[in-house]
Order: sequence, then structure tokens, then C-alpha cells
Amino acid sequence: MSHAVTSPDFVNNSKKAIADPVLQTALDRMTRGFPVNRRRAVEALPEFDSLRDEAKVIKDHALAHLDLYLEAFEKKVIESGGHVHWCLTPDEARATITRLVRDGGGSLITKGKSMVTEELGLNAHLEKEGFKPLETDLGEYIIQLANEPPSHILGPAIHMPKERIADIFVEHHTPLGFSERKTTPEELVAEARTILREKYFQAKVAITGANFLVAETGSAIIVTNEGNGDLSQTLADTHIVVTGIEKVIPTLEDAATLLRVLARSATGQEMSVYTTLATGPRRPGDTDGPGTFHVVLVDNGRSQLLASPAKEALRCIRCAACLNHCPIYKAVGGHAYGWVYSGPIGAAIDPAYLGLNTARHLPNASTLCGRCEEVCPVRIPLPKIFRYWRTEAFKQGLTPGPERQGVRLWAYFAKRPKLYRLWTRTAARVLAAAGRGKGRLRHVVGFSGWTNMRDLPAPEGKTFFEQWKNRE
Amino acid sequence: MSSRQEILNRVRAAIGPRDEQTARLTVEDRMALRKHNLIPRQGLTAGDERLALFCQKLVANVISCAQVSDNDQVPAAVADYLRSRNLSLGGIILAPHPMLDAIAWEREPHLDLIHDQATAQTQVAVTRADLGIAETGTLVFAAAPENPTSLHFVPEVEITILSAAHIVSNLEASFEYLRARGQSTLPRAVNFVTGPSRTADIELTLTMGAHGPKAVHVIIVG
Repeated sequence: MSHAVTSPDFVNNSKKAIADPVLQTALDRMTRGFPVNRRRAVEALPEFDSLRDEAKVIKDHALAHLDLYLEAFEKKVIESGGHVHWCLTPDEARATITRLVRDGGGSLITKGKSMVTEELGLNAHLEKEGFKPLETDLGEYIIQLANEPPSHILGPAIHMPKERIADIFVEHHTPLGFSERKTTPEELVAEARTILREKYFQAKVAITGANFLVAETGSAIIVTNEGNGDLSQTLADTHIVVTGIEKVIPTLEDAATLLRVLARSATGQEMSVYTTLATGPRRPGDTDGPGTFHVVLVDNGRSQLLASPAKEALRCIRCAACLNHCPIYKAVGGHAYGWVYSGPIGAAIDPAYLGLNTARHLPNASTLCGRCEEVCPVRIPLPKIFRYWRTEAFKQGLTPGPERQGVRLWAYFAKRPKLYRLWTRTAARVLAAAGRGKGRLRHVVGFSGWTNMRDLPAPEGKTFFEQWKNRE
Repeated sequence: MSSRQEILNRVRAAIGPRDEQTARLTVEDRMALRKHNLIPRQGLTAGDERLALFCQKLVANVISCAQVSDNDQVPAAVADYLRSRNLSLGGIILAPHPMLDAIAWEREPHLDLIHDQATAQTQVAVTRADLGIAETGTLVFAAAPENPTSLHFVPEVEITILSAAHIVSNLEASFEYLRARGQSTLPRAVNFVTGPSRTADIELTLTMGAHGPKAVHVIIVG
């Protein structure tokens, strides 16, 4: 089943997420774990910030010559015996992949983790066409069984407690002869391993994503910790790489720099366990590896994003550090964003891929605190991009009446300093009096949107301007 | 118009005006010169320091390691490891590499090695690593008839033999080796392995042995 886009309902999604104690426990665990691991890795590498500067420059260079590097990459893939397919729209990509899968034979397809195939709703489409796509990344496997979209780029099932995963396994694995309910992560992982093991050997076609495409060599690089995407592509007869056009980089040396910042930013590892370079099909004498190698290059809004002031978002290497450090993501989780890419990077690219009308709430889901930009390995100025989308939404008249009137009202005061100061002075005095003693306010008339979820800190009675004046 | 042309046109329009000849030369030069970017200090070791760092990083990656002085000691090192983990000495798949075939396996009569394809039931494989990278404690395997890729992913346990002379300092040095090996094109698959398979997909709990080997053991020769 395809997952409906619920981004327009971000506000209600968020309310539900905040009221869900199970989700809150999972989010708490995650947003404690990832940042600590990242910090340790960063502190152990004195050159980390210089590497980030270089990583940014590499991606900017690649994007400024994207057409030339794509052509060079294509040439090398063909030279090494592979095929390249260019797809402008999701429809075209789905049709192309379906044709390649059909040529590959069999119905079972093993899949490595690929956010682009999530973008395409590929599994639903392939099922409709009579195929059985099987996710092999453990997190993706779990959410496929549960028929849910991923809630995080790295840990798609990170929102689920192990008890729920145990229930899902009992439901889906009992017919396969595994009826005993497992309770520990070790037992659950072992059961999934046993079941998926046979499938790698049965599938004739494997689909993976790509972390990087190397123009110089025509290689597709994937990075995993489980070895699932690597197993899939090694044991199938046909390997189809599905990826976005922005993934191409010039050389292996450039890949080295990006790999050095990727794993550290993502999981805090120096290198992920498996980094696999795939270059073309099986060579003479090889006893394994796919006989056919395809790369499907997907545009789906990327060339338009490249033409927009938000183009720096195309530098993204999908490490998820911005999600892991975002106070909004921590509060509402990935599903509230209503589409494949959540968190700050989702708020930056979803408006381009889904249309601003559908995704206009997402760039608003930020306090502009800037932590995402601080941790981004390719220094994407995410808050700047949110401001761009907010401005666009206002210009295009997509924001609702009351919001527009509110901004106009604020602008009226902001342009009249005397009036503005009188207003803030009055508000500061009134709120200080109301919050006297406790230092915080439970209810403020007209501000229930804030106070329903948390207290408002009471001002001390003087405005910033007054305090500044007194200081002198 | 083909989608290929349409995508390229859109990308060119997005990039905006530029000097085409300069752009082409820049791109060609970059791919031909393959300049190194910044290599961190930990990627610039040599000699004993490099070997020490490699071993230290292996341990951090949960890869066990033994060092022997020459090939004649490899059979005993393999048998010792298998016994220490209570694994059978029989039915072990040996990668069909000339260097591995040249080892005097008969020195360990209980070891039973076969050339075969890995199956879902394969317990142990013995392979040869092309390189070790000291910077991160990474093993490099280049696919070839004598080095089947599936042996690095299918068995429960991988024991790999690495010559001490093949330990390089950094990723960049491994690329130079790979390019020299493959002539005009890279080997079909190159696997950089930095530990046994693992996942943290369930409640962020680190769990070993997700889909690939549950244990990786390196025997460094020399």
C-alpha cells in the first residue's frame, strides 16, 4: 500500500505525536543517543571542521558542473558494461524500474535501503505489478511488515518499541514457522537474519540506493552497517541502483572526504561497517556478482531545486545529524512531517519535491535555533532555506488569512518604534504582574497554542530596551 | 525530447551561464589529476606506528587479530582461532586465491578446507584481504575470480589473511592500489569492511550479526 502524504496536516500530526507516550520514549532515547555518539567521534578528529569545509566545496563544485559529471559518470558506467536510465518524473522512474525488474525475471526482489525508492512509492507500485519487493535493512523490513513509512533516515523503525516489533514478527513470521515471541533485540535480529538469509539467494533482482556516484570511475557507492544492500547486490543476477541526480561527485578522493564526515555525523563511527563500490556487471571468470548492472538516475524536482535559492540543500549526504539535533524533530518525530524526508532536511527539500502548497508547514516547524546548520557535515544553511520557503509561501498567498493578518499587524507595530515600545512595555508589565511569584504563566488569553503544551516564562517587568538603557 | 536531454537541459539552465570550455577543462582535469583533499593526521602514519594504529583500530571495530611471522604459521593460527571460538575445523570454504592455495594447510591435519560457493548454511570462510587501512582499521577486498565477494557477506565467520606489507595509511592509498590493479576500470566490486555486521535498528541497541558475518578475524602475516 502506498503511504499518503500527510504533510498538509502537520499541525494535527504534531499534536497527536506529542500526546503519544510510546513515541515520546523512543524519541527521547534517540535524541540522547545519536548526538552523544557524534560528539565523541568529532572530538576524536581534530580535522573534522576542515573536512566539513572541504566536503561543502566538493559538493558545490559537483553541483556547479552537475551536467558534465553526470555525462562523465554515464560514459564510465557504459564502458564498464552497465546501463544508465534517466527519469524526469516519479511515473517515468516507476515504469523504467518495473521494466528492468520484469527483464530480470522472478517475482522476489531484495531491496537495500533507498530513500529515493521511498520517494517514488516504489514498493507499492511493484506490488501492484505483481512483484514481491522485500526490504532487507532491518529497520526498513520492520516498517514494511507494519506498512508504515520510515520515521528517520538512518533508523526507519526507530519510533517503535521492541514489544511492538515482537508483535509484528509473531504476526508475520508464524506462517513461516517462527511462532515463538522473541523479546530481546538480539533474538529479534537473529530471527530476521534467518528468514532473510534464504531470500538473498532466491531473488533474481536486487534494488539498492547509492550514497555517492563517482564520475571518474562510474561506480555506485553504498554504505551500510548490516551488509544487507551488499548481500543483495552480490547474490542477485540483476542489480538496479536507484538514486537522485545530485549524488554524483568527481573522484574517489572526493568520496574519501565525504565518507570521513558521513559516518561520524550519522552514527559516530569512523567508517560504517560496509562501504561497497559497485562498478558494472560480473567480469569474465567471476563466480558471483550481478550479470546485469543498471543505474536509474531520478530527477523528481531536483533540477528545479538546483535553480532555486534553496539549492544548497542538494549538498545533503543523508546523515540525519540535523534530525538528531532538532528540538522540533525531538518533539514530534518523523511521521508528523507527513512524507519520506523529515526533520530539518525534510523541511528544506520537501517543498521542492512535493510542492510548496503541500509542504508549506514544514519550514515553519523550526525555531531557527540553528543547531541543524551547526552539525551539518556539508554546512547546509538550513534556517536560511526555511526563511526562503516561508517568504515564498507568503508571496504565493499560501498562508491562511489570520496568519497573514497577524504578520501585517506585527509589521504595523514594528515599523513604528514608539508604538512598538509602548506595546511591549505594557505587555511586559502585565505579564510580569500575572506571573509574579512563580515566574511562569499557565494560561495567557489568546496564546493557548503555546500554553496548552507548556508554560510561558514570565517577563521580569522591563523590556530589553529599558534594561539596556539602565545598564548605561 | 528524451528525459536524458530534458534533465541535462534543466540542469544547465539551473546552473546558469558559464564559460563552457573552462568548465569542461576543469571537470576533465579534476578527474584526471585526482588530487588528494585533506588527509587527517591519523591517516598519515608509517612503519611501526602504522601497524600499531591498524591493530588498535581493528580492536575498536570488534575485529579480532593475530600476527604470525610467515605463511607456514597460518594453518595453526586458523585452527587456534576456530578452536578458541568452539567452531568446527571442517567444511571451511577457502577462497580460490593462489596465495592461499600455496599455504601448507597439511600442517594442520584436522583443518578441512574446500573450494566452493558460499550457501546460506556456510559457517566459515578463509579469504585473502587485498589491503588493510590503518586510518580506520578497514579491510579492503577487490572482487576477482580468486576473491569472490559473497565470501565477505554470506559466512557466519570470515577469517582473512593479510600481508603486513599490504597495510596502507589511508583511503587514498587504497584507491591508488585499486586503480593500478584494474587498469582502465575498477574491480567490479570493492568492499571496505570495518567490522562484523551490526545494526541498531531496534531501540538503538547495538546488535552484532545483522546480515553479514557475526565475527571477522584477521591474521597478519609478516
